[in-house]
Amino acid sequence: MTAAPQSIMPLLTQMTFIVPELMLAVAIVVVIACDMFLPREKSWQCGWVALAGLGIAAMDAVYLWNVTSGRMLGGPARLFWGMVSADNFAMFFKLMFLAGAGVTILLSLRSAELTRMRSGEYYALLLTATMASCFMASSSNMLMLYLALETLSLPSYVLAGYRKSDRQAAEASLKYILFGAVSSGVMLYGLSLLYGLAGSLDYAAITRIATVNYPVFIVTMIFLIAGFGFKMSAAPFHFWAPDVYEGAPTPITAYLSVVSKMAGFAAIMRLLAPYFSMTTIAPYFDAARGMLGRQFDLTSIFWLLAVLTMTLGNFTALRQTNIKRLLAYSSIAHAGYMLTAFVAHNKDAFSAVMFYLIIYFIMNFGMFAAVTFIYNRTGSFQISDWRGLFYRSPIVVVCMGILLVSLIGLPPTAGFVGKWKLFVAVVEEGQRSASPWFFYSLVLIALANSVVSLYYYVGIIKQMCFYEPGEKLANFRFNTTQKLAMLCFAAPIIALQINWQPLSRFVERGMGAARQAVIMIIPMTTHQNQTLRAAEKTHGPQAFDIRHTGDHPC
Amino acid sequence: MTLEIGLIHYLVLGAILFALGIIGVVTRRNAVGVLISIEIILNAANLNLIAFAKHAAKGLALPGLQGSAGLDGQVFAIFIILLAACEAALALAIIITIFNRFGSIEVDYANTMSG
Repeated sequence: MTAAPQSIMPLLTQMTFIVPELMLAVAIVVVIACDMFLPREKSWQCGWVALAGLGIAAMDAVYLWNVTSGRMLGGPARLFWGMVSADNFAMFFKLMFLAGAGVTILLSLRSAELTRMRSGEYYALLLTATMASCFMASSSNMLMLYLALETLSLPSYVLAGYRKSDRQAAEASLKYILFGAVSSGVMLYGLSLLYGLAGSLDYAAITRIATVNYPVFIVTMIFLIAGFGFKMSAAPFHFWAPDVYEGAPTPITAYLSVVSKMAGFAAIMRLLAPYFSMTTIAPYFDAARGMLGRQFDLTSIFWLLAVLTMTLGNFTALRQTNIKRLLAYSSIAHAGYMLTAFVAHNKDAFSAVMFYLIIYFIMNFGMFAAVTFIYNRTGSFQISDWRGLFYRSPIVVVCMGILLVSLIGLPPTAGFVGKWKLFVAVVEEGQRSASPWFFYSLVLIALANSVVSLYYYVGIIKQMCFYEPGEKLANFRFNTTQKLAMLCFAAPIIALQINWQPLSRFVERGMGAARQAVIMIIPMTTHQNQTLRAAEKTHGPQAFDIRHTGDHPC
Repeated sequence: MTLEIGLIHYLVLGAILFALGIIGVVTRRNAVGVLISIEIILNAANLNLIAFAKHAAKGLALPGLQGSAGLDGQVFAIFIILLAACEAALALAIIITIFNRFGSIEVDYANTMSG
């Protein structure tokens, strides 16, 4: 069916590599069954069932993490006729998704937005989305990618509008499904072209087009980036993000901003890994007028995407008064920072993205946890209602301060390490490149953007610390669980600044296996190149032009 | 003179459908109209996949990328039809909610959040 090296493992053995997903599938059924037997006011207990399912899946993912990074990889890394990959890269993201879903469920159990609602389906949908994101991180076939993407999207649409008596929730849901369906449709059109040009749905096939007809490759990649950009909330596909983040229940907002975005990054990193490991691409425009002394290619597109995303995110965040909208634009800006790695497209840059994603995970879940806790008591998402929070709960505000400083990317926090790694990877690529300013300019713009972001993040700290408490905070206090939760989010941010080596090693292990998977593809690619060269000798350079194949007798 | 219908005709039709779909999404104000336009985009992709499965896959398949490449496109198309149905069901449910909250299914009415 595909280009993948055919697996010699029996199917049942192959199944063992997707046990986390299978466990989630079982958990979905169990949650729905539990929901049927529980009365409405007790249906929140399904959350604990879902959490148990996630726990079992996570334990297996940890086990597989060790299996896939061991000698076991002597066998083929790809399963089910090349549909999914079983490597550490996939396991890395699966662990993150499972952890993210766990935090989301804990937040949901504590959120006042979801009380008095029937919540069995809520947790079942959350688990479905998580299962799909797990498949998305490991898919190595375009069909699998599309199925995983849609399976992630469909529950997300429902979850965004879960408070269906609320006008904003209904609006958020509608905007999400319309934007989502359009961008996945555009991506699908790109996939269909890619399939026709490469004659295969395998990821490895995209390198074939790049070696033969680069402009067509670029066009199809632009279509594809529409779909991924939607998931990553990269401009100009970000319009849904602020409205959906505002209308969705806060735990779901956190889920969308972390897990859904991570799934987008995981999928595009895997999709582009074979392309970025190529040494040659087809000579394309003879007189290509590039940017900053560089020919226009896929990295130029990512350059534009990154700059547009971070600038738009940061500058629009400046005038937000609603904390959820502000965090939405902040998450758009962070997607922009992470997209710089695709401009550098070396191994260090990809590990930097994975490193940054972990820190982003902690920062964002921490902030949304704080938003949930404060909303529970005040019923407001306005930043102005946070005035004087410091005088009510200094500990929590210090924790939030740490998270906010980390979001800016200033030194005593892990956010600084993450950004440092990202930008250093880009600068180093620039030093190796013939057109260094293409890379340097990107880093300069990103740094300028970080300075802009300082303004609105510090604005929140200012509101919390330098005003008298408002009337909404009159009898406000955090309970012990909430204080502990905030400490759990803030502590790693400081600890990772002091020593980030363990996390770096974790990421390297995740990346190492992903590289192995890429290496498996390279021999095939060189083989294809040879075949192509031979074919071009006999048929001329237009041998694989689309018009030629149109005439091909069938 | 008989006109032979080849791959290029399907691709052009697919491109036209895709463009019509995009135009529909941008111009339609009625949520159901937008939904129909989205279905047109999906069908453009479907048409491409099936045309490629019939015409191009065999012609393009090289050693190392062979196999039943011809079937892939058709299988993909079936999955798309399935997912399009799911998406339509979901979208219609959401549109009903919108009608209940806003009293209209014009997308302009359901636009209270901005900034």
